[in-house]
Amino acid sequence: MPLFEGLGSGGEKTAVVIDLGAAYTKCGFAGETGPRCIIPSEIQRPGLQQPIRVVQYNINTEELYSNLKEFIHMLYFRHLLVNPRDRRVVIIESILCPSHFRETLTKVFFKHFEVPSVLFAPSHLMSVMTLGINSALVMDCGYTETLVLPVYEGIPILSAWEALPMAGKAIHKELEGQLVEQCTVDTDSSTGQSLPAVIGTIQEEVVEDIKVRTCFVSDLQRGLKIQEAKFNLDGTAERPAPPPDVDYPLDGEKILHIKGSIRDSVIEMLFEQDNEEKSVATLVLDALVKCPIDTRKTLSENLVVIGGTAMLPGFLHRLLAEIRLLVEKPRYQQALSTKTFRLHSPPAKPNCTAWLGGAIFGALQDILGSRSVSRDYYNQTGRIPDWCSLSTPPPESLYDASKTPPPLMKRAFSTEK
Amino acid sequence: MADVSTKQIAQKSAKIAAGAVVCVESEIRGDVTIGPRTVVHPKARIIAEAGPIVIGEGNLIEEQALIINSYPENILPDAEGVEPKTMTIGTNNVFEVGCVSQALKIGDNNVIESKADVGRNVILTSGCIIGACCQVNTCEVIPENTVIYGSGCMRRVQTERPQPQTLQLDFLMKILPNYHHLKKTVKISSTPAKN
Amino acid sequence: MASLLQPERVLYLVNGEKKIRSPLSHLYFCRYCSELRSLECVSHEVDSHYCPSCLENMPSAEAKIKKNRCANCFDCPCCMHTLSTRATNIPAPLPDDPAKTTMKKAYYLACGFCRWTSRDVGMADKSVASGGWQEPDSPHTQRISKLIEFYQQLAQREKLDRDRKKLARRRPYMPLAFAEKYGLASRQRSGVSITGLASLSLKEGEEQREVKLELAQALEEVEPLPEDCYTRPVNLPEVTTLRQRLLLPDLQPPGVLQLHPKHKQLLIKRSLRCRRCEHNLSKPEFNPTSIKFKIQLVAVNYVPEVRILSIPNLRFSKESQVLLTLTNPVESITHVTLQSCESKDPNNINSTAEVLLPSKELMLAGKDAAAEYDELAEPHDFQDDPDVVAFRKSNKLGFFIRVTPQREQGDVIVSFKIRHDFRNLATPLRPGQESGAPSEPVWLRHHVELNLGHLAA
Repeated sequence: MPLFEGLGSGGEKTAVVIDLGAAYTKCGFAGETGPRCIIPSEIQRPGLQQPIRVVQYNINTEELYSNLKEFIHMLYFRHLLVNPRDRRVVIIESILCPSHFRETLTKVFFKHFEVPSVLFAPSHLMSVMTLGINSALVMDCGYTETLVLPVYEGIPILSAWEALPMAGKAIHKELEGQLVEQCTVDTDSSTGQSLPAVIGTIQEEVVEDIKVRTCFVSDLQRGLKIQEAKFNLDGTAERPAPPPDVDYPLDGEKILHIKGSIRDSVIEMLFEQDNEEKSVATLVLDALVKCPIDTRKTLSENLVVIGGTAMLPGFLHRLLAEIRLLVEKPRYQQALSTKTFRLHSPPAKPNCTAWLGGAIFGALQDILGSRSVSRDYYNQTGRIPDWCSLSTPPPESLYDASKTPPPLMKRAFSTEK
Repeated sequence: MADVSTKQIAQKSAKIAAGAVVCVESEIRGDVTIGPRTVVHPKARIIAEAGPIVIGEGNLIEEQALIINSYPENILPDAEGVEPKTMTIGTNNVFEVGCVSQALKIGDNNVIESKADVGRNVILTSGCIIGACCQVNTCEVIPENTVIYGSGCMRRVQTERPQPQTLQLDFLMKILPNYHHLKKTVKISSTPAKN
Repeated sequence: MASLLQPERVLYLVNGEKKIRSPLSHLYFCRYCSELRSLECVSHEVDSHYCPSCLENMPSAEAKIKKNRCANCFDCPCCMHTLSTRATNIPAPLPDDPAKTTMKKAYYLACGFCRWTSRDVGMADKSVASGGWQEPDSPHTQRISKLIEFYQQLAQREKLDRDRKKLARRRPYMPLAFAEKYGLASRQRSGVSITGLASLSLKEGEEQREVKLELAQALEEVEPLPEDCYTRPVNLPEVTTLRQRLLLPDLQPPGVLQLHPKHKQLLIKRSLRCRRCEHNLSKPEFNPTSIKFKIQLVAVNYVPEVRILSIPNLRFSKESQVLLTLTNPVESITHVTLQSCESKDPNNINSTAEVLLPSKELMLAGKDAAAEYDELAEPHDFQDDPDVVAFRKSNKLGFFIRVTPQREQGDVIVSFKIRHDFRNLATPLRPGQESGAPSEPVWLRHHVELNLGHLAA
């Protein structure tokens, strides 16, 4: 049974929900169970071989504007097939998104596409909405970075955020390095050639495909032994037996022999503690330490993991095991008294969970309008409210001017009378 | 002595079994054995340079297809000590228009689609389909029921092997002799066909 | 020589929010605003939906219900080409007489490119050619709809709260002293009295539609990797690629045996609308098989086009003659004047050469489709200055300009203004006007830039 198809309650059309990730964009309509399309966040310019990534924070405004314009044009007229002018937009964003990017994105939506209103929703808060609970510790393992943010009673505890650039991009780089170093390529004329001799570098698409199809995360015991063997200088530690090799055909002429030892060890880098003793698992515990004491028990019993990198086989099991191991370490033993950790499974795949939260919120037509930034407001003031510039209250404020204005995503559903 | 001379003579001509339909316009050079119920279209080329070619039953070799048993690139034709390797092709294979096949061993029920290029070191088992314009040049044995398709030569395995083209073969065997002269059938000599 | 006809050689400037320079063939002309428009300063709209493989038009309401997918056509989950329906004959027992078997047709889907069939994933053959194939639903549909209902309830409550507060603000317009005297100072009481009905209805609503939501349960243990993962060799053709997984966002199966075909996505035809006057600039025909347009206000049909015919060797600081052509797109005589840019023109940023333009007004004959079959001499007799006009052919005119490159390196770019008259043939608003009255010509000015290429060595 299609949910909320056609006209929603009150005759307003369903909103468009877009999650612009660094690697993939999920877009669809509010009220549906899954995005209509998941496409790579890149555009193809005529004449250029390589597609251009859309989500880049370092390029100048003009270029970013035209890239975003082209990309969103393609989203609307190739995948969503609706008029931009008719429907409100919900954009799922990361809280670490730079203001410059946000402002350019808003300008594209309002000035070029003339959408009626835009709502910026933080991805961590939206993922909590898919569970029906109010508090959770959310970890987003995406492409550029892993970001942990606790949400308590519907309010993100912004001071307790933790991030590490150990995510998809780092894995790709490491995997490519190991392939170039250790693996051989068979061509039609010869066998066992080293990779750089045959092809220069492997394209990132191919590296991603190798990661998705052949790599996995070992469990805790095995993973620790692999790490020991890697860092052990005198060679006494033995590495557990590697999984079988894989012959990966690059195209009709070349076959890449992927060593089995790469398959289970490349993702270990997420769990290896670097010089500052940080790994993906310590982020969770560090965030807990930063939270107020009363909230810690609720948060630790409600962990949520979202993001594409979290879909690697064995990742969740390993993460939980690592957290349980680390919490016994002296660093955390005194600070944290809670030892129970429980993991939720949201009703969507981890890469679409934040999108689903946005879709659920976007289906609430009663309040979507009041919480979004409308086109009139944008034309009047020329800017969107940002959590780092709370000095100007929005004109349709429900609160007296004397009171301090609320943060952008205030307690989502208040039940106060 | 007489054996050597007969053998030498035998090597130069093609041996076409009864029941095979081989058009005169096709080019067959070298020691080629063609089994019964095989259809060779005009302008197909079967060239046995560096060794004999043995083609089984029920194969369909279309126009401008090239089946060639050639010398490997880095070996000169006159070099000593080069064993002539026999190229064997099984039953019910289809070589579509314009394909090039140099594979030394081809099993049964394979389809090599138009303009595909199969290299010398590839061994096709049974039920494989090499898609149109795919160049497969690796040194490997392609497992059964593999389909190779697309510009990047993607692979997948199908559950059923392609059906033998019996209808097409019957039709061609009836119609082709009406429009083309056929090559004379030559009884196959006592040398048994090698696998 | 063909490179002289490349569209990027002659650029017209569009005055919009951004100054865009674009060849005339890429521009539209809004005849209500009498201005050129580019693709960036028009708003794009979805006009009609159609399926790319069966070319069937779909009304937008149906497209919305079907989630923008065709009802009949499928995409191969393996290679994304279109699937075709094939039929086989299978023996099936007759309903009347189980002993005899008759040949029934069984249909299955097959891809011609990668040879995928619906039998590969275990989908049973259907007995009808079309309409038998169903896509599986997402496994979480029930839970998500419950969540939405629950949150809708909370949202309604918040909306009522907000409305109540808004109403509460509108106090009776009494000064505070009076309010205190009569005991109406407290907000709460006035709020209650005014929105008494609202609160009652909320209570009723709550009792009717109280949605109890099962909170999600967090689990202590997560399923670990299967043991054979470490020892089993990977069969690559059995594992789906990331692209194949992302085509099925609800399931994202890791194994090839769980792929299922999706209905083919529709494409749209776009119509363009001027942002200022909201008139349509381009509206395609409804029929997917037709490439014509109902409305097509392209610039080449209204604005005279300048093209480069021949360029001599250009030398630094030396004056050379360049031959250009002007083509008249309309059927009436057009008067064109060329003017050089003023020294402080803000649009004149790219030019690297000075240009001497013909000072007199050039007249272009109208476009007459029957002229080539008409063997009578041309009725128009234009007095052409042979220094300026090289040749004249029906609605085309060749003329000279003198170019002096000012830079030693790089492309020679010349800009000037072209001024022409435009008769607006849009239908008059008042039907009472005489149809024979000629419309007033409007003089339009466009900024043109020519790229004449490199200097000769």
